[in-house]
Amino acid sequence: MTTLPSSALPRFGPTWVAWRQHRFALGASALMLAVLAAGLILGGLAVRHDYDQRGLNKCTSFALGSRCDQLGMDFSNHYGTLNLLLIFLLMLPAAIGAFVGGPLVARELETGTFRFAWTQGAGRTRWLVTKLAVLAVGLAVVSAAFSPAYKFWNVPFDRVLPDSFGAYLPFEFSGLAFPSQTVLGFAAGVFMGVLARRVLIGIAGSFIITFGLSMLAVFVLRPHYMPARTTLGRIGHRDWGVDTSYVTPSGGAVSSAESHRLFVRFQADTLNRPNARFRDWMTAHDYRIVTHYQPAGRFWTFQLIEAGWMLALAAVLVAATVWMVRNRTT
Amino acid sequence: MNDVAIEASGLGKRYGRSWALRDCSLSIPSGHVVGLVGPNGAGKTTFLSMAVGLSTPTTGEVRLLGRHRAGSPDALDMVAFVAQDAALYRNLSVTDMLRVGRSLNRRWDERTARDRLAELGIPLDRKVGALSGGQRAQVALSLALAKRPGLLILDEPLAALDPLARHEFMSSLMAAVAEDGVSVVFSSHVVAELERVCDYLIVLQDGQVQVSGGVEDLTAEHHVLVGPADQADEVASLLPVVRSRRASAQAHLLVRTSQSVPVPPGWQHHPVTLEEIVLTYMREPAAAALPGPQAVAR
Repeated sequence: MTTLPSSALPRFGPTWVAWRQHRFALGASALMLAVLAAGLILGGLAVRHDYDQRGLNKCTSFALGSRCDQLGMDFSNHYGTLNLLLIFLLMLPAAIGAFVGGPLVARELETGTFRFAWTQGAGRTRWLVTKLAVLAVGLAVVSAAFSPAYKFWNVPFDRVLPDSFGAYLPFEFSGLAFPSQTVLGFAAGVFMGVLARRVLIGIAGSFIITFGLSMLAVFVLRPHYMPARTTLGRIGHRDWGVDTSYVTPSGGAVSSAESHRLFVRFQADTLNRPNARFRDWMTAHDYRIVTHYQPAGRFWTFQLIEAGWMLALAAVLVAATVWMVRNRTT
Repeated sequence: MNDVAIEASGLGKRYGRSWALRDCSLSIPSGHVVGLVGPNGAGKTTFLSMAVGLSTPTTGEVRLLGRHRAGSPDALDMVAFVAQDAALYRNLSVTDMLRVGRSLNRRWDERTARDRLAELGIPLDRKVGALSGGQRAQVALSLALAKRPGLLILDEPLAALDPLARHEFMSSLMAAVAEDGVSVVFSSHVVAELERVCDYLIVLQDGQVQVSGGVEDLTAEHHVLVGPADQADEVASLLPVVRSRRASAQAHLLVRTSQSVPVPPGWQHHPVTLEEIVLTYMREPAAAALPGPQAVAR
């Protein structure tokens, strides 16, 4: 075991150090996801049982007004609250990233152990880059492994009422989005930890940043990753309707000023009819509703766009972190 | 072996507006056990941090073992550092800590490290955080020596130890020096044990080198003259006096000269201990005892 003058570090030496120091954080994240996954799978089995009991398994179509449609609505409503609560899964990338990333370097700075780590032969850059690589890959794998559990849970609901491809939880758990968000959360955690030199600020700061970015992606950016298409007709089950608007009888778009003018006219016309609907009035005047939508075929393009900008941002944060660690003055 | 362990030229470090160390030029020969002393805040830790590459100088540079820039890959390979309070991972066992060291270094002498720890009776399966302060310091020293460094730098290794642990730690260090011939530089504000341990001394004061030299030279060059107070001014005008202390009747002069001291009639000549010299210089920030410029500008 005595190794004297040698020109290289031991094979997987820095990798072992990264694993040994962070296996608890990585393991705890994996365990938490495993518990959640078990819950979703057991819950999914119970839901399937209920689905069969209600006779939904014998339904082949859920045509509007049919008995199956009614059964499906009852079923969806029964689990509505539960599915709403599952929105908390959107917080997972921020939480896991902050928990694993926040203390990564900040704890060494707080306890002073960086004085040991950064004076070893490997040097601080190798030490840091290895840690970042090992944990980013570990978190990507763990989070990717969790995704099928949500898909399993969601199958019966998706069959009764198909989700558009951009619906938030199915979108996160169907491809690259969830692992990318988790890696971004991790990079933000390490960055904030080094910036603040405090574990707690690193964790809290990166949680807020990553959760904010996730919310921004889900509710603001994602519908606009590509210019939407427009149709007068109905859109497909998997197509993602992102907006509706009116077109003039000649087919042009209705500007917001014009829309306002029309609404004033509508109010003047219907003063004595409180139940009148603007929509009906517009249709009566040959204005038509169009749907702006993202076609279902864009699913993977959207996944790639989201993973792309998140991983690019993560790379920028990693570069900034490495720079700070290299040039940090103590 | 290179003949210079640490060479600093024009070294300065500024934090915000205040300089922790300024215009520090010094040359520490290798093959010595060098004590770096000075009051708290004198810049000892700042100097050592730059020497091991943990922080970057604002001005100037440090070179180690003749040529390697502090913090460069070669310097990190050849220099070992024991930080204040033995900055080890407390949640790891001693065995894991050894493996961390082995995994992060190109040169590693595992057997010697394990033999040292076994000899000291330090349980390998114990968590570092569960060891006593003295044991933890010994683990840190073993990890540092396992790198087979040409230069070992220790920042206040004794500060947190009780007297017995101090003694044992210094004995271990001396044994390692005797075996490996490693050059050692350590900082300390404990002045009492220096003479037993180090053979070269540097006193830092307000970020400046105040005294630098071999312990034997320093003790040979300094003399205490004790005599009547009313003659003190006369005697002091003839000799390079570092510090004079006067009681009502008696004066106490610390003189520095490499020549033999002419003892005036009615005066007594006393030899001085290293501790006295260090304390005297620390009380007299304006006085300095430095080797001539030829030793620094090599």
